[in-house]
Amino acid sequence: MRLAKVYALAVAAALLMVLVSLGVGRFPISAMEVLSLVSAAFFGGTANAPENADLILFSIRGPRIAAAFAVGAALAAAGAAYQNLFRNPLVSSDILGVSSGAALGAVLGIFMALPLIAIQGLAFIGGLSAVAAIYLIGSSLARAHGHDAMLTLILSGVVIGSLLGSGIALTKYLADPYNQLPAMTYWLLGSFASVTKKDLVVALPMIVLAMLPLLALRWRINLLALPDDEARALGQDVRRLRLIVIVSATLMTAASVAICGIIGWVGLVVPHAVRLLIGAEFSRLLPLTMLIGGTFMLLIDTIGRSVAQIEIPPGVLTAALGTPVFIWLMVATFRRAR
Amino acid sequence: MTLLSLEKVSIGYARRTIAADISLNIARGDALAILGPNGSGKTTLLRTLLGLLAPRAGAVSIDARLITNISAAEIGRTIAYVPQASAGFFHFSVLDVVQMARAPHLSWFAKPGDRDRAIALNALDQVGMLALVDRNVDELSGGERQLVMIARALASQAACLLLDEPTASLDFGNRILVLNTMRNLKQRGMAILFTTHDPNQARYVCSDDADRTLTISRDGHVVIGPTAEALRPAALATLYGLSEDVFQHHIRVSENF
Repeated sequence: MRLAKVYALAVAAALLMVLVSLGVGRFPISAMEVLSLVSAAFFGGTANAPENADLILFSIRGPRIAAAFAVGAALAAAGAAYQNLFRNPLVSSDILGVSSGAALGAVLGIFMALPLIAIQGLAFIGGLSAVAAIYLIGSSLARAHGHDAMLTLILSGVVIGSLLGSGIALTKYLADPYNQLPAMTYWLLGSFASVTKKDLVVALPMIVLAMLPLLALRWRINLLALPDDEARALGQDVRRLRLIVIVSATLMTAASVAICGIIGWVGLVVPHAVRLLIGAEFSRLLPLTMLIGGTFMLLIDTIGRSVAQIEIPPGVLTAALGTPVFIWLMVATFRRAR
Repeated sequence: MTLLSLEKVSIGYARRTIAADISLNIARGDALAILGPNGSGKTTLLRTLLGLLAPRAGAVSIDARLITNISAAEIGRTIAYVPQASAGFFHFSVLDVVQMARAPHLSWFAKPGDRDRAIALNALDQVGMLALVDRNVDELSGGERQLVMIARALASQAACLLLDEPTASLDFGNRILVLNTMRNLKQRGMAILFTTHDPNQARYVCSDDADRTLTISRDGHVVIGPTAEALRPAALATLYGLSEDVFQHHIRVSENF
């Protein structure tokens, strides 16, 4: 069966990418050494690997790989959820301004020197306020004036996003230029370089917690793609379902933004590509989107930390890749709509 | 037995009553056409019947129970809504779309199983669309899409079908295909309610003596009666605000339809 084949390939690609990523870096570890270290860690015995390789593997690359994979999966899943929610294949956390809202919350948290959990909380509040504002403006304009809802949403996202951007700029301007400003700037670029086990302990449960409702409701979320009256006539409490999806997707985005800054395009491009591959049905779409989103982010991060002398922030790479892909997607969507 | 009943119902929105004092009983095997000019409130009436819009006054009941006391899922299992088919936003397959009708039968966390799939396939078979099961809905023609929407309604195993202008924007051949399907379903004991802009369709689907037509005029005047009565040129002329001989001509033309 085609679907099973696609899933098997995606799982294989994810495992392969994890192995490659564990081995690649300034201190290369061969695939055999990686496997021997991993089996030693799980089943005991001594690994046939250089000294300190286990430290690099489990304390440096391991957490970073876990973070990259989780963030990629979360951003892609949030993107898929938003696309269904807004019935619009061209939206995602970053286009909707959710990422900017979360970033503003997080920057304020850094500004006030709060602990990570508080930074995550602020990121969540910022993201949720942004998505609520955009949803209200977009839907009321579309309803009141019969405008194209798709266009209105994207425009309100851009507008709210730039307002939030000015908030971020103001916070940076006011920040301590020797201490906080570099931290904010570096972090806003999006990076997994400074992710520690401690960050993961806070962020991973949040991401997993937010993913659970989406996974559990993944078939029912299809109904949100229907016009409201149709979904309600099928007995669906649209408001409650929509609220669950908004909160979950925003929580995932905020948790991701809080540990690694804004990384754009993944949430837009991955679900869209997966939809072209296996169709829009959400219960099939969501798990594959998570898998491919995680793998893709891991690939981007691995390239970013290994091709050049300095690290290339993943946001830079995804934007460089994402822009042409987005233009192509828009062309394809409009051509299809005609 | 009465499936759906309206007792002195007023329909409308928060600040405006559109039509008042509508009383109506629908049983299995009944057909009701809803005619009226643009903006007269046909869709408002459908939305009220579906429980999407609370009546401003009066009582809507399903199987002798007030609609306000019935869960949305239960309404969804009894009355199925066939919207005007649009291309939709995503590339769902025909089977995916039809299976969505199983939502009112499933718990929040469930996915359609083998039995739901069989029901969906059977529904597609009933409207002659089984061959298109794996196609994407946005690749279908308007008529095919409308039949898929009807199949979706059938897959919810409801006893009553509410269709909103089921033949709007369809070509002549597809129109007849959809109308014949509606007639077949009625003969098999389903209650069929539909809005239309074409009096001839009311005549075609509501062909039994017992079948009625409901007309809403722009000023909210509702008349429910035998279809032949509602389609008299004089009645139509009043309803649409045109001169009588215009309808004399059009109705006579369609007599052979």
